Amino acid sequence: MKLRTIFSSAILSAGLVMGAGAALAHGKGMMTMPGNGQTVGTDTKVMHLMFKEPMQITTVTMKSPDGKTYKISGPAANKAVKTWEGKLPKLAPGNYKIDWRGMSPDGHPMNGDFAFKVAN
Amino acid sequence: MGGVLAALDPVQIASILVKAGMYVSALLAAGSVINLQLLSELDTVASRRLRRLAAYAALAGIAFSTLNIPLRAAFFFGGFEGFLDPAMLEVALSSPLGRSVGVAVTGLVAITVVLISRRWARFIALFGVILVAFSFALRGHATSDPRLALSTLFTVHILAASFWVGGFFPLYDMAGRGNIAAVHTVERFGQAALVMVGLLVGAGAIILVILAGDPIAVLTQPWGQFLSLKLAVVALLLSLAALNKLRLTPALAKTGNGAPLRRSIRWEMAAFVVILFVTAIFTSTVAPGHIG
Repeated sequence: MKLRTIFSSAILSAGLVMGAGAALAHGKGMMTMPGNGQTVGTDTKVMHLMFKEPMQITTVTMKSPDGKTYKISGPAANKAVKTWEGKLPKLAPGNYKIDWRGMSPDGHPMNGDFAFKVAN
Repeated sequence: MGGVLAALDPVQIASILVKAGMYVSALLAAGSVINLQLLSELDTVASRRLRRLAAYAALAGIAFSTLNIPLRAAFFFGGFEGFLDPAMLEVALSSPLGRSVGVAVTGLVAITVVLISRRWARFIALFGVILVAFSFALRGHATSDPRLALSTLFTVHILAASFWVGGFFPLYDMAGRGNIAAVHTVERFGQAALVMVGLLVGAGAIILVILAGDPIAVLTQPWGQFLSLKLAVVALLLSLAALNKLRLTPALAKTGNGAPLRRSIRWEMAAFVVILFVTAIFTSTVAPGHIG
């Protein structure tokens, strides 16, 4: 009976612990400008990624309506920032998608994406 | 679960495979050294084989651990083109992962010294085991607050898991002999396993409570399917462990026939590999926007 109790507990906790931790301490908690689904004008020149804690943003790319992918330049990858500002190329009307990658303060690799629309 | 796997890019798939390889090899290397110390009735041949296994596993562990860095650089870059990108490598090396890999590789190098059949070499290898276990406390949520408690708990958790993984080969090897030394070896492992399973479970449960707060709520998360799969395999593994201790070990002592025990150990090994592989997937595909 004692052995069975030990093993039952092990089944529950070992399985839970070995994989569960990573997702628990991170909320999404970020904002973007333009926002996801937002429509902006063709005169938009910058984009922002805003975080609750300083993040190291390593790569930001933008897919334009003509299918081309642009690398968006901003603060250096080894610099942790709460607000990352990137310079956008000249925008034509259409749908755009931004993909970003980086690292959180505790070292977790992070990624995300959002889309926005450009109209005259 | 299928959706998460389908969304993986090639860099993430490679990272998961390397992580799984690192888990298996590092735990096997560390666990082999622990069992070399613990199982005092191993004969000369079994002892030499176990030392070799520890060293080869350590070498594989060094390769897998090191590969983590350029793969992380590739993730930061957004593709394999970033595998050797200096800026991305710098970010990866200066991250907790970089520090963890540094400590793990140092520990694994120390473990290879176990090939030398000397008492001092055994102590260096044991120091290597501690470094390998501690390296897991330098990354991921082991670095969250309360850091000291979590680091200690993760180290204990990994040491206990290593003990288990490292026990398969010497038990399998000795069970084939069917002699009294084999019986004593299996019994000794079984006694130590009760303590180690307690440590594994105890440390694991406390980590879970610290990180999750409510373990039941964990099951309501989208990644609960991975967890369920893992729980099923863990249940199978523990059932086999119970079968070994309660039925097959006494049968070995009574009849000298180690074949049923060896068959059960083969299934245990397979179950452990599946668990570590699922863990590698699980810890790499958690919440949206979070690849770990």
